[in-house]
Amino acid sequence: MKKSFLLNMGPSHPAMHGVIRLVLELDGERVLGAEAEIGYLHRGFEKQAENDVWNNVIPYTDRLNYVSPLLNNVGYCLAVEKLMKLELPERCQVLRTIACELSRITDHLTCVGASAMELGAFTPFLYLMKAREELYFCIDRLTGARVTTSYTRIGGVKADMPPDFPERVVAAFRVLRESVKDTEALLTRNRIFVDRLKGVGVLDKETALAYGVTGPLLRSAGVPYDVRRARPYLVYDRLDFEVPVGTTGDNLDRYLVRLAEIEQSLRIVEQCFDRLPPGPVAVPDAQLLDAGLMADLGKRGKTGHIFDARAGTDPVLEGSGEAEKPLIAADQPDSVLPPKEEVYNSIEGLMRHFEIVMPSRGIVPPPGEAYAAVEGGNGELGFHVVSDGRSRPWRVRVRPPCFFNMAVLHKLLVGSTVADVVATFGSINMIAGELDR
Amino acid sequence: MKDPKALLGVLRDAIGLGVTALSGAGDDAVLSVEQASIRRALEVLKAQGFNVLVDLTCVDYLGYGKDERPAPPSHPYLPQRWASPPKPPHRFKLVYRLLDLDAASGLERGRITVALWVFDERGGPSVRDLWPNADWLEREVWDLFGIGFTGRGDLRRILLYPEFVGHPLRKDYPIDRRQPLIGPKEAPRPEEGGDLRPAP
Amino acid sequence: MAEVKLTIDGISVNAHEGALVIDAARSAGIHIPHYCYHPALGNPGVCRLCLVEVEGAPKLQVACRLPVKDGMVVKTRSEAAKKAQAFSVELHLVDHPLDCPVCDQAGECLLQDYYQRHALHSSSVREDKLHKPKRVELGPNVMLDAERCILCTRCVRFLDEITGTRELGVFQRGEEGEIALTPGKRLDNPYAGNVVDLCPVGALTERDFRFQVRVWYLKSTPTLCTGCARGCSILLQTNPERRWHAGGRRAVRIKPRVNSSVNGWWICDEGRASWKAVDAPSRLKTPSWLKSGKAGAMAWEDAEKLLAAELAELCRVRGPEGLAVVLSGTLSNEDLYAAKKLFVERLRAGRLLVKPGPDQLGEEDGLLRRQARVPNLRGAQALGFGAALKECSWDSLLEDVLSGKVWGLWAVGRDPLAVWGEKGPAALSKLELTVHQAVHASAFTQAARWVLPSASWAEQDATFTNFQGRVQRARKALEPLGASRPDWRIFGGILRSLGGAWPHESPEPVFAELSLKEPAFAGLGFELPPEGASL
Repeated sequence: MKKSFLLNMGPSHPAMHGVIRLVLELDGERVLGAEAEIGYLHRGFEKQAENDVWNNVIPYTDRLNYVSPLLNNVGYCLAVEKLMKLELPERCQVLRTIACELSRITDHLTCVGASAMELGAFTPFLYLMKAREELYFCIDRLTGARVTTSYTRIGGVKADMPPDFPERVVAAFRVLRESVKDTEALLTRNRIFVDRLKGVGVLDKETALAYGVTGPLLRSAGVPYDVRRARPYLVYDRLDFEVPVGTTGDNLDRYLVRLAEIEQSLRIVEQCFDRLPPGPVAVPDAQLLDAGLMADLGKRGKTGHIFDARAGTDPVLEGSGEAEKPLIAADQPDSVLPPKEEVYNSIEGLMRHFEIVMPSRGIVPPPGEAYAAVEGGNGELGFHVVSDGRSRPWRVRVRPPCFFNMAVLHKLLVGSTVADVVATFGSINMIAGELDR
Repeated sequence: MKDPKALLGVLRDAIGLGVTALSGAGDDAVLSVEQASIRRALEVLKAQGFNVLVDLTCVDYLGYGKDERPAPPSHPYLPQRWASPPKPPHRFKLVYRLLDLDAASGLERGRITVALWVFDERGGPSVRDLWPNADWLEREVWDLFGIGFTGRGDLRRILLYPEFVGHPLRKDYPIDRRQPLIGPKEAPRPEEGGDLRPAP
Repeated sequence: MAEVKLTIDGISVNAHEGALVIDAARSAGIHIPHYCYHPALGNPGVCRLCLVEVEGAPKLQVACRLPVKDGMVVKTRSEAAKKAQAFSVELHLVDHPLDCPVCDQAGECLLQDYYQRHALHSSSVREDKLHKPKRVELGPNVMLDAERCILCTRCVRFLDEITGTRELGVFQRGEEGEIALTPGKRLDNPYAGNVVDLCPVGALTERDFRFQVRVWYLKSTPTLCTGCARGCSILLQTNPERRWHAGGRRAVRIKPRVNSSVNGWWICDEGRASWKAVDAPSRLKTPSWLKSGKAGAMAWEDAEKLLAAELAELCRVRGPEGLAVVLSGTLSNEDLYAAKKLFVERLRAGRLLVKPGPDQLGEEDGLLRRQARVPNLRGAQALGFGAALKECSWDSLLEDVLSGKVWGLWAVGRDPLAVWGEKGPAALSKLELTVHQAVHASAFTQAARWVLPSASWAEQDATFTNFQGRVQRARKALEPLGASRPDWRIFGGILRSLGGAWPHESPEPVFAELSLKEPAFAGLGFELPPEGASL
């Protein structure tokens, strides 16, 4: 019998992909078998979601796949809105689509950059991080935060985009395309890079389907399955984009698929800006009052004075006024926060605000369950929510695409060398936040 | 697109009254199956073309629909917005989510969800020979809910550490429970050989 | 009474003749929104919220004024009824101030809840709000905000019909109508706090609770009040997690629970304020022992061993007739049973005293308050104290101490110095053993050789027997403060250290044993129904 020994990689190891432990059975340099031990970042998301009101679960979803937080936000809200049968206005859906694609781009940039760096290519990593910084800046302007976005709400989004947002994004895309072009020039036909990735970590179609693998891993194996195409949600059925498909399912194909998807996401966002319905139109002679002053006048009972006023709130803070509100949220008064003007100038708006936010009141979906899936950075990201008609979810199950990608990892590693383990593992794009929840 | 009613018919032929109900429509259709026939039902569905197990999870219905607001004092009881939902038949529900994916076109030919109500920890038969990813999914259900799966060895925790006491996603596990402290352990010596080779 | 069958929202309901439609609906699980109606206070029909559609009647009917009739068909959620209910809410809100951020009632406010469930309209009022008196101190514990008042008149009717004191009335008319004190009066009757519970909005608020903590952070524990022999059913509301609110107090508020056999809908103000004692600075927290003039803290195991040894020695040398045990009606059934086992059966103490002293007696009135301001006097009697077990009196006890017949005094929850006055210190100096076992410190704490801290009523699961012979459960809402323990556990520990049998670590087996051994408590289980059960 061949002598073999066990090598432990992780949980903390410098191939910076979060905490994961790989136990490799080696014969010299060759991997005979591998086992992944996960759960080091298990934080009890599903348990916590049962303990908080429906809207308060959204910040926890940010922390699932933390390099593409907006995708998680959108996925959860879509599931709950399906349960509540809410119809979202068009502008809101387009904003969500833009947010999703921006997150997808950051996810792929991080994955490609980090895995290139692990193979020794430090420069492309920095190029892609520069590109990612531009995107984070845009996401920050849109949602108020770079990573912990919590942008969506059940029934809509938090706030409309700032007026200069399209220009910012277009400028960011210019930088992004440059960086990606430079990266491709450095890597795609780089002899060392190609030799390290080509033919390594091959995942064939049958194994991928048997393991429930989706996303870039499945597409690189040759199956053109994309949730945005197969089960369109938001406005994807009206957009024109391609689904890049690989052939061999090796690491190089995954790298190429991700780069191609970045370009497709850029196309989607540009189309979204063209299709964006008109923004909020404020009534021209409405008096514009500072929000604090308006709230103070309302508190003192001068509601007659401020009945027609507009509240001057920062559009990026949760300050949607009467003009913005119908565009960014469903028409469901018992589940969506009222516009700020109503909160400041009428007791009804104030009470509605309180009722929606107070624990044991608020957003209450009817009893039942719903499953909604979005195309995450790694595959089908599904949310299964169960409601018992009370103010907190009964069960929130995340179908994490990374989980299935990791489940198949041990098959990909067999027969490769230890050095290939780093390359393959990097191309899986394992995000511990999503894997372990 | 696979029609859920047609699938119901096929399953009725295979396991008779083992399939108890069909609810929902289209992609969200749910077939409820009895514990004794679940293995056969899943085999039949796999044979019908459902080649991908999208998800396998569990829901604990202990205390489902309990009223959460105490009555305001000196006022007749103010009920919840929704009436109490019907009491579930058993405590745990295993949910198998299946997908029929056409590998050539990348389009879905159908989705179906199978719900299995179990009343204790014995759970159902393992399906990791039908869909290999069920291995990890079943381990996760065991880990977080304590629902076992028969016909497989190696049912151990996956997300939590081995010394963890209890099954945290159960409704009777309070969210703020502290675990007993375990001290540092001796690292196991790397042994010669091992059985990490994947099963054929 | 004749039975009547009617249909409400398609559900067939049986009711007694003469019952109101609103009550019949409630029995079927249908809640018709209302403010002014209250089962104990009558049905003036002024709020106009409970409008329902009745087949055959051209106009909507007021459900709280409508008696049931056989064959009536009532629709509470028809289009016309919904519109009318929404419009009533809207009219109530016309002058309502934007006070939710500062109003204590947020989270339990019926305006908020009914708006969300029945109205959800946008305001169409373009006038400024009418101002009325805003921070009016009606009495020592009730605050009025006349702007928030919706003039349901529940408070006026309570003070008229239940207490008969008539401190409040409605003044002015129409939009300017407001609740105010009748001239010359203050709202300081012993039941004034109940108007706060009755008020559906934040017009009448408790001054003790004002701005302390938001109601959705409160945990409610159904328990009973230990202020007097009635043992009213209450909800003790605690603030378990947010210690930066309410001044860090754990117990925050008491609200009454409906119990038709004991207290109906109300509680008195003394009972309402009894949460204050739970976290008072006078709470005893550690067992301590006076050694050469200085008090030193001890752990329970050491205290039990040493005290038991001292007791045994003194009983052997001086005789157990010299041991006087002063118990209190504040002790639960379990505490008294353990005391009986320790002092009567094991030690055969010479003198027992349970009767409430002048410090434990108060005014009795026809509504709720009882003269004995202790919750378990009847329980003590049922266990034999004062009957089969003879009691002495404070005076005879003082004589015996001064004459030297009594060498040891174990006072549980009582202060002998307060009763004996000037002769007290002299008497105490003659005693060889003084044990002070109590929840709060008193003058005796400084003088006693041994101090044992007891857990308060809010910190233990226990049973109390009220003056009607009804055994009710106190439920544990908080952990005992410091090292304090329930009294039965203290007695049990001493008994065990003396060599007696006391295997119980929790109150359920204590009550089980009590129920078996004591004939008065036969057949009762520890998990009593919310209204309690009779002896």
